[in-house]
Order: sequence, then C-alpha cells, then structure tokens
Amino acid sequence: MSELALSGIVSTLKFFPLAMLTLGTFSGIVFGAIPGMTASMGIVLFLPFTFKMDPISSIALLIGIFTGGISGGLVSATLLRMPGTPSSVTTCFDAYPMAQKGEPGKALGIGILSSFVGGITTAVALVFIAPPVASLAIKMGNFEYFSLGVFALSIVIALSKGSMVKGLISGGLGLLFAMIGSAPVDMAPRFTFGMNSMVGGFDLLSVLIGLFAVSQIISDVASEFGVLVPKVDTKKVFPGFSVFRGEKMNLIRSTLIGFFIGILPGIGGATANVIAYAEAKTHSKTPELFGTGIKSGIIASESSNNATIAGALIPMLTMGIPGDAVTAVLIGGLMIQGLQPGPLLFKANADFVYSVFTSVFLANWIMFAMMIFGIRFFIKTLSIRKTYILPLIVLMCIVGSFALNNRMFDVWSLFFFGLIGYVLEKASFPLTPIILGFVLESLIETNLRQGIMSSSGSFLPLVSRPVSLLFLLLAAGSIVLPLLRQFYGRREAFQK
Amino acid sequence: MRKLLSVALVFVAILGLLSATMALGAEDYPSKPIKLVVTYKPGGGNDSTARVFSKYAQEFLGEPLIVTNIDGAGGVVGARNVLESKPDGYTLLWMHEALITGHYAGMQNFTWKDLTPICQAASTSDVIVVKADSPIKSVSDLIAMAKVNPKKIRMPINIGATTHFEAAAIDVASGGGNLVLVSSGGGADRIQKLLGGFYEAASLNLATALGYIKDGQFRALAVTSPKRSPFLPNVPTMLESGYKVKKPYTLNVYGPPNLPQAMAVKLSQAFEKMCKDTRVKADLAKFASAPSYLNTDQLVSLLQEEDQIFGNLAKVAGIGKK
Repeated sequence: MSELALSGIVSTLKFFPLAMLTLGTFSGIVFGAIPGMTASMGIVLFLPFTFKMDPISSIALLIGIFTGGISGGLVSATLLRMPGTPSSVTTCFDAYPMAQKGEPGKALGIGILSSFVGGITTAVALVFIAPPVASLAIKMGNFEYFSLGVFALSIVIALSKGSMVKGLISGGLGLLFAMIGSAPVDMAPRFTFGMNSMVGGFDLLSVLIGLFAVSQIISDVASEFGVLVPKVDTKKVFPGFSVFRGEKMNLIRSTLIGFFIGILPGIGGATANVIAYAEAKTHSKTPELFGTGIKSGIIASESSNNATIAGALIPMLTMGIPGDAVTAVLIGGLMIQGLQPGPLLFKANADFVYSVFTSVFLANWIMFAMMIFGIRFFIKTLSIRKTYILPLIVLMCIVGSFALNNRMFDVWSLFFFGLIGYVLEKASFPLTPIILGFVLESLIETNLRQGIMSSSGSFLPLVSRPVSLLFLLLAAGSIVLPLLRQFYGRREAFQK
Repeated sequence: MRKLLSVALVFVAILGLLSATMALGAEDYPSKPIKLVVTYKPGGGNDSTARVFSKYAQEFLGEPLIVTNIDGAGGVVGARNVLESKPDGYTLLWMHEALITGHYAGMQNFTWKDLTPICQAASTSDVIVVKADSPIKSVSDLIAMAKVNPKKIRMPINIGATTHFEAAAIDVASGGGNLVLVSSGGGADRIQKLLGGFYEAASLNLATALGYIKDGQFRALAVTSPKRSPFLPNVPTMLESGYKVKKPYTLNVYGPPNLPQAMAVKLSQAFEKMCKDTRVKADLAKFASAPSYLNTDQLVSLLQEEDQIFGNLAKVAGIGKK
C-alpha cells in the first residue's frame, strides 16, 4: 500500500471525521427507517452543513448518511410492512411475516447482519477493483441497458405468487403509470388529460409509499388489535452468524447482484433488491416458502441493497458519473469542496479516495453496532398503540413526498396510490410487479429509442452485441423455466 | 352597544395592522426567506451554481435564498411553478437558455417574456469534445468528416434543449442532414457513452468535461460561448473557427409575471454585490463558472438577441415541427 493510501486512511481516523461519520450514520438510519424519508433526502438536507468542513469530514458525514439510510429501511419494512426506502421493498416479504409470528428481533437481526455482510465485503472489493470495473461499465450502451431492463422485467414472473396472470397485470399497471407525464427522448406529454401538473409524471417515492405504506395504514386501521403486534419476544434478538448456514450461495449471489447493479449508472437499489430476491427464490429448493417469513428472503434483499452502495461509488469516484440519485448529490458536494470526481481524482487526490474507502468501511461497522444495539428500541414501537403511531407515519409520508420535489401533486398521488394499493391488495394482486414495472419502464423505453436513433433505425445491435444478447437469453430463460417447472411439476403430481 | 364598539375597535386595529404589513411588503422586502427554484434534480451544474449564491445570500440580501428543486419535463415543470406563483418576491426562478429553446421546440407554451427577467448572475460554456484518440483535431475536421461520411458522426442531444440547438447549428454549418443526432441523458451519460465509443463527438458543459480534458482523455475542439473561456484559454470559440455557432450558457434570475419593479431592483442589486465578491468568484470557479452580472435592461436585450438566434435556427433546422 502506498504512502498516499496510508495518509488517506489515517486522516479519516481522527476525532472530527469519526464523529461526523457516526452522526451521519445515525441520521441516515433515522431517515431510512421513516417511510417517506430517503437517504438522498438526508444528504440534500445535510449538504449545507458540509460547506464549512474539510473535505474528509464532509464526505464521512455524507457516506454515513448513505450507508445508514439504505440500512435503516429494513426497520420499517420488518415491523410495519412499509419499506423505509425503495431499496427495501422485498425485505417486507419475509421480514414482516417473521415479525408477525412473534420474532421481530430475529427478523431485524438477520436483516442487519445481511446488510453488514453485503456492505463490508463490497467496501473491500471497492478498493481493489474500482478502476478496472469502471472501464468495463462504460462499454454498456443503450442496447445493453435495454436488454438488461427486459431481463429485470421478466422477473415479474418469479415474483408472482399464485396467479401469474395477476402478476402480469400488476407489472403492466406499473409500466402504464410510468408512461404518464412527459415521454422520454422527445418530451411529448402523454396521458396528462390536459393538466399541467401531470406533465411531470408520478414520482417513484409517491408510488412506492402510496402502494406499500398508505395502503398498509388503511388496512391497519381496519384491523382489530390496538397495537401492531400483540406479543413480542424482546430477549433473543441477536441471531449470530450461524443464520447464514446453508445460505452462503444466496448471500454471495445477492451481494454480487447488488454490487453489479450499483455500478451501472441509472439503476439503483430499488431494482437490485427485487432481482436478488427473485433470483434467491428461483434458485431455492423451497421456493414455495418465500413470502411466509423465511430467512433466505431477508438475506437476499438486505445484502443486495447494501452492496449497491460500494457499487454506486465506483463510477462516481473513477468517472464522475453518478450511479444513482444519492451519488448525484454527493458529486455536487465534492465539487463545492473543490474536488472534481472523475479521472483526475485518483491522480490528484489519491489520499482522499482512500479516505472515502475508509469511510465506507467504517460506516458499515458503525451502522452494524448502532442497529444491533437499537433492535430492542425498534421493536418497542410495535407495542405503541396504533392510534399514536399511524397518524405519525401518515404525516411523515406526506412530508416526505412533498419534500421530494416540492409539489403538492406528489402528495395527492401518494393518496391515489394508497387507495390503488389497498384495492389491489384486497383483490390479491401482488404489488411488487407494479414497482418493478414503474422503475423499469423509462429504462427500457429510453434506451431502446436512443439506441435506435444511434443505429439509424436498425434493431440488429440487440442481438449482434454479445452482452445485449446474453441478457435477452437470460430473460427468455426466466420466462420459460418456471413454465417448464410448472408443467413437469403437474405431470409428476398427475403420475402420482 | 359596548360590544359593538369593541368589535369595531378590533376591526380598526386589524385594518391598521394589515396596511402596515402591506407597506412592509414593498419597503422592507425581503422580510422572510426567498425560494429560488432550480428546475432540475439536486447535483447538476444549474443546481450547484444556485447553491453558491444561496450560500452567501443572507449577507447581501438580509434573508436566505433557499434552493428548491422542482424537477420534471426538462425544466418545464419548475419554470411553470414560478410562472404560476404570486408575484410577492418570495418565489424566483434560476434558469439558463433552455427557457428559450424549450419554447421554440414546442415543449412549453410560455417563454422568458411571460416571466419578469431580473438579472444575470453567472455564466459558463459548453465545449465540443472528442476522444483523445480521435482523428478529429478541430471543428473544421469535424465538419469535413461529417460531409465526407454523412450519417456516420453521432452526437448526443436532449431534444428541445440547448444541446439540440447547438448540434443542429453544427449540422447546418456542415450543409445539413449529415450528423446523426442521438437523444441522450445528462452530461454524465454523455461522458460515459463518448468514452465507450457510442458517440464520435459531444457537447458537454465545461464543468463536467474539464477534468477529462486536463487528464488527456478528451480533446476540446471549441467552446460555444461568444468569448473564450478563462478555464480553457487555448481553445478557440466556434465563432473564431469560422462557424456561426453562438450559444452562451448563462444563469439568470426571473420572477413571476408582474413582479413589482422595486423588488426586482433590490434583488438585482444584491446579485450585483454578490457577483463582485471574491468568495463567490472562487466558489463558482469550482464549477467552471464565473460571475457575470447583467442588470435587467442588459439581460432583456441579451435575451431578445438570443431569442432571435434560436428562433431562426429552429426554422432552418426544422426543430419543433411535428
């Protein structure tokens, strides 16, 4: 290790940067845990405070919020079945049922451990493979992104519990909602019904917390108990690393998926956790148990979303290209400090780059310690009367969706999606395909249209470019395999 | 009777208070924080330069400028938000030339004339770049190449935005219809795809491109501003290179329609002082931008000139025809 690397590491290990890192991680967890508040909101709010700090302390603060924010999302996902951030949608599926069975501490513990493993392994990987990986990522063009989007969308099939038709309808609804507003590429207004406020379209966060949080609140209000979970075991909370027994492949696969998706600019944790969950289910020996509260589901979701953090930092540090909304704000923050993220950063400020690596590494440890310590406090919220806790969450959802883009329109759409979510849930339509369709629509449409513009109208690159072809084949596989399995499964059952 | 009298007294008192606060409105403006609407997500060049002024505003204006991001439809949603706000001086718009180009591209049914122009605060430039290993060494090379190999040179644009007009101007200079204009995302997306070999040339904002130019990965062919950039003094302008491409990149402050002139003057004066401050200059330089104050009259005449240029270009290049 070079002298610069050492001086970078040492400069983070001082009182003020460490204090900022701790403060950031704590605030991040709070932001992440509150439905409607996200890591990027936390970073925007804290950004002005960093103007007067030295670069190392300010990046420590922001990295802390980033890590804490992504991790905190699992708390509300587990306890309330409301994803605190878009990155923890699939955490709800198994962590919430487990909590409902009276083991909220265990569910949280597994989520925290998985977050930690996903975050810490990729933080180490970041140090060694950042530049070579970044140069591979830029070889991905429009056609590759399109095919990746199609592959991700094909996962809807694996996510559909029970009725595949209902899953496909949900996915279609998601695509449709995403089409409302200005079209990508030519900005033509679509489905706006002549209303100016519709031109901006719906925002992911309003759709997400509407569908998951508001609809859940409606059904919580309608249910009988005065508290969310009547009986809670507050003793055995830390599960220990033994929970990973038999889950090694799942853990490695999910972490790699998160890391890879994080590296690709424009696709973030919202997609990563869904893909990781669906892949875990597809490769599981007991796919039918997913969604009933098994640890595999929590591990897949939480290890993958924390792995996106290190992934998203790679294009930011090496090329100045934001991997997601959070890193876009981070780049602005670094530039105010007089640092230009991009190819020069490694040459001109190598010590700074190593202090970023150190911050990511330490933030994961701090997050881990704080959240394990916090479990017993988190689960106390379950025994607070619903009449106190639910109005507070509604308030946070409203503030969060307004703060996002400073428009009342997003608040109205929050309630609109709350009603839609409640109705669909009652009719037993799965909600995650809606989110997946909503996230992927613009990725798929934009890249196809841009790709065809650059190839002067030819569709051939879709299959002539190897990476694109690979993703299309994977997509075909993920549609055909479950059908075959179903077919053979039926035949076996018939023969018996 | 006594009751009636006391009610009347309260009424008079309220009226008095109201008129007092109304008088406050003009003279003691600003008396609360001012919202400065940036029409893009946090993190880009527009947002970052706005935040530089926001950092020092309290000192020069007496009240803070709060950067408020309202993103959507390429800037139209945020601009419309200001257009439809009350002209009380507490909602302002921070916007560059997209306000004009978006109008000619048919993306928005309003233009800068519908708002109240207040002043210009900062300016930067776009720069035309190619990858360092490209055979293209100058703008003339680029245009010659496009003429010899029509439909082979790909350049990224955002339809209806300033980049579209810029690339169209280069295309018109090469005879028209020779370049392949490909819709793209923002600057980061363009850099990534230029590096990956998906475009032959690109127009990038100076702030994002500078690191790559200095690192030797990109070659700068020309800047599109009317004058050379202080950050790239050796790179010629498009005008110098002999092409009628003039696309300034200026960040201007607008108010809602019918903003009282007294307020506009106060704001303009505060921005003038900020533009002279050395700290503002140093902070803007981090984003390859410079303070470039213009008062309301100067700004209006600049906007009229730009309006004509973009209007003509839209006609020649066929932009905005459906």
